[in-house]
Parts: sequence; structure tokens; C-alpha cells
Amino acid sequence: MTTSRGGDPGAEVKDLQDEFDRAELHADAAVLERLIADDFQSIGPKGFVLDKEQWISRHSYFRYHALDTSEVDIRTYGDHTAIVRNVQRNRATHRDDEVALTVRVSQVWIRYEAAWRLVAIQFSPMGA
Amino acid sequence: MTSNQVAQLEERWRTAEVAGDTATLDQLTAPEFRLVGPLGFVLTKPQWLQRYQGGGLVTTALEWREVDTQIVGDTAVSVGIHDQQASYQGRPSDGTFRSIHVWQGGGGEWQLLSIQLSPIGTFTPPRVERP
Repeated sequence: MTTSRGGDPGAEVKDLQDEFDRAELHADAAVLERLIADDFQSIGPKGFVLDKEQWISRHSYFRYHALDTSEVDIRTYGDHTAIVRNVQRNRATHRDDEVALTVRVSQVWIRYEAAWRLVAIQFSPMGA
Repeated sequence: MTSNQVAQLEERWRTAEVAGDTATLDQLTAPEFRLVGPLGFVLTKPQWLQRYQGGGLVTTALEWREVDTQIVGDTAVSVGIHDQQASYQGRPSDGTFRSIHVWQGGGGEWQLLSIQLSPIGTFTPPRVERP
């Protein structure tokens, strides 16, 4: 999906971020494949790094049961760069373990010609 | 902008952190700059610059290594390891973190938009005196 939203980059990125979060929740690999840039990099809440293929394939052993976001802050820089920061509260199964995390997440979106792609995502665990 | 030019900017950032050089840090960062710390706190640019005022934060060594930089148009995204020896309010605040830096050159001069730190394994924060 290429969004237009009247050329408002912030609104376009918000739609794509929502679509990305839904795809994560439902392990929708086709949508993730489309939204994520080929040179995507991620840093998890314990510092591990996954590339695009590793990120999408992790859904074979990691499944969200709930993924709620709050404190959403969308900032755009020109027409081609956006950073979405939010707080994510999730419940998930990682292999056989139930996990529940609250994390601060930053997502970097860049517009490649016609379409925005997610180039980076990073998680930091929320401290006390 | 090339990866080498981004590396030169990052070296200026690294040396400014160790020197507590807030004028250079101010110059290197965009007004909307945000830092997300290893425990999820967010600092605005003024809050981030203020870390060095009054001797609250002292960074004695900072290594920025294993850096992989991707440049797309006027945006650069660097992923690396941030290894610091520091103290905050006199208490050790050493740590090794994985980090992403986002740089942008849309306004002419390239500036940092974002730094985020994630612990590698577990991280014990320094105890902070609260008034």
C-alpha cells in the first residue's frame, strides 16, 4: 500500500506505523516484507541485532498475544525522513516462554522514491 | 555524504562527549534531537546538553565501535556499540550499549536527530540521589 493522505508525511507514516504494528501482532510476513527496507537493522531490548530476514523469520518462534502502544511521538524531517517513538506494552511467547515487556521503541522511516520503508527499529526496556 | 564523512561527524560527537563540550554537542544536534536512554527515558536536546552542566555527568572514556552506516538520500543511520566509562553525580555509570544514531542533512549542515541506547544483556543503573 502506498499512502497519500494529501501529501502529509506525518499522516502517511502514522498509517504505515499502524499497519506495521498490526503485521507484527498477526505475524503477517507479506506485509512486513513490503514495509521493511532491504538494509533494515534492528536492536532488541537486550542489544541483539537482527537484519530484515532475521526479523521477519523470528515470527516462527516468537508470537505476540497483545501489543499496545502509547506516548506516540511522530516527527518528520522534510519529505523523506520520519522517526516514530512510542511505548509498547506487549505479551508474547518466545519459544516456550511467556514474556511481557514494556519498552520504548524508536522507528526510523525513510521514503524511497514513491514509498516509505522502515529502515531501523530499536527497543530499550523501561526502567523503574 | 559518504560513510567516511558520517564517521568524521561521529568522531566530533565522541570527543565532545568526553570533553563535556556542550557547544560542539549543541552544534551537532538538531533542535528536535532526542536521546532515548538504556532504561527508556527520553531527553530533549536542552536536557541532553544539560547533563554536563554542574559536573553531573563526567565521561572519562567513550568508544563508538563496530559501526555500520547506511546512507539514504540526506539521511544516515549508524548502528554501533557505545562503550562508556562515566560517572553521574559522582557514582560510576559505566556501560556498554548497542545504539542507533540518525543523522540528517536536509537543512544543509548534517545534524543528529536521534541517539538511542539499549543495554547489552543487563544494565544496572547508577543510584541517583533525589532531593
